[in-house]
This record gives sequence, structure tokens and C-alpha cells, in this order.
Amino acid sequence: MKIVIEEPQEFEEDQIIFRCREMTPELLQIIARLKAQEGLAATLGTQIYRIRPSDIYYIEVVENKTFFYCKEAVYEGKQKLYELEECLVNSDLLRVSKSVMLNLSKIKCLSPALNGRFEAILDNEERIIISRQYVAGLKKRLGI
Amino acid sequence: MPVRELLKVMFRSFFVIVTGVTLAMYLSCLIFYPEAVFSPADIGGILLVSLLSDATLLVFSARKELGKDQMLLRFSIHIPLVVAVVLVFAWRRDWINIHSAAEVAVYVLLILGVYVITLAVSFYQDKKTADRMNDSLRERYHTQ
Repeated sequence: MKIVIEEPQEFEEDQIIFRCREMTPELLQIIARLKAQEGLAATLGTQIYRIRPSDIYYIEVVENKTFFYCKEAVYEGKQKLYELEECLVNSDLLRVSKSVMLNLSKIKCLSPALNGRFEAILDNEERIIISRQYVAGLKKRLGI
Repeated sequence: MPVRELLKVMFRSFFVIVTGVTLAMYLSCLIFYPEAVFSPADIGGILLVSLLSDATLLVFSARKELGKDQMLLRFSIHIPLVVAVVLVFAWRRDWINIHSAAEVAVYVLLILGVYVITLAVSFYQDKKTADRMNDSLRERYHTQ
């Protein structure tokens, strides 16, 4: 696949154009990631919002429903956690347990939580358990 | 904690428990039976009681991630269970005189000592990891 980067005219806005014969799964994945950077669609009551990943403290799945925990409110999303994990691979949100993705930029500090697990205290004082099996991924992300 | 993860913890703990049990056996013999001679069967007994103590960690098995309070509850079940398992084993093997209150008390203290050592080793390793992750988080997100 050929990648072309062109500088737009002064009056034009930045844009990404895909010139392809068919939309392959890889291309769809790239598009999903790009869209996720702009914001994730979520609902609060009957209203639909676009939530920036950087505004989310953590994402949790409870009884097959996905919730985005932000500073002021909790929104409900439509995507599955594994889909979000794929879309948000370039963001600060990282899978830390079977049902939670945590925004690393919102962590105030980490402390041991017995048996190889860790507890993250967030800027809003909420506490999230980091499961032992996801600690390796967290260490890798933090360059340890 | 999922069973697969728990098995990893059990594998790591086994060797710490063997070391602790050997140390406890040495101290208890020094106090009560300074003339005692160890046979290969006793060494096998040390390995077996370590394995049995290790197996009690299955108390921590859970499908969902346990919170700190739930973890403390499991510990409050686990500690008496370990004491009971080791005491029964030691009694059946004639390692202690179950009718001597002083001997039983020292034995229980030694079991708790081994327990604390196992926990302390694990906690120390996790604390070091948490400190390194906190440093990395500070560098990445909180250096304004």
C-alpha cells in the first residue's frame, strides 16, 4: 500500500483520503481508530454525546453494558470492550482487568493490592484494581 | 483472581513457603528437640506440608476481580485454614506434641511467622514495582 502525505492549500482543512478498491478489515480498523481519537459516541439519558478519550477516567463493562466514567457524568457506550481496546490503542486508555480500561493520565498513584495486583487511585479519588494478568502490559506501556 | 493467574502465584509462593517451613522446623527443633535427627521422610514432609499450605491459596480463586476489602476477607479465612492444615499435618506426622500447649503455641507462632514472611516478600516486590510505575507515570503525565 502506498502512503502519500501532501500539504493542503492554506484555505483547506486537514483531511485524510483513502483511495482503495475495497474497504479491507485493516482499513476499517484504521478508520475506527481515527474516529475514536475524535470522540466516542455515548448516551446519557436520551441525549447522544461524543466523548473525547482523554476526558474518560475509565471504561467499565457491567452486565454486558459499557460505561464511560468521566469527571461529571457516566455515559453509556455501544461498543464492546475488545472493540474499544482496538480503537483506543494509541490513546492513554489501557485494559487493566477483565472488565475495565483505565486512563493512565488520570492516575494519581499506584499501590500494591496483595497477590501481585495493584490499586490505582485516580485524580477523582476513585480506586480501580489492576489485575495481575494486565500488570505486564501496564509495565510495558510505561517503559519498565 | 482467575485460576490460571492463581496457579502462577502458587508456583512463586511454593518456594518461599518451603524456605519458611524449613526455617520454622529448624527453630522449633532448636527450642523443643535439639537432639532431633532429620530423615528423608521428614524432608518429604516439609515439601508436602508446603504444597498443602500452597494449595490453600485456592481460597483466593474468584471469577471477578476481588476488591481490597474482599481480599482482606479472604485473608481472614485463609490464615486460620493454613494454621489448621499445618497443625493437623504436624500432629499426624508426630512433629509436635498436641497435648503441650507451649509447643502448639510456638508452632502456631512459627506458622504465622512464615505467613508474614511470604506476604512481606511478595509485598516488597510489588511495592518496588509500584514505585517504578509511579515514577514513570509522574514523568509522563505530571511534569508540568
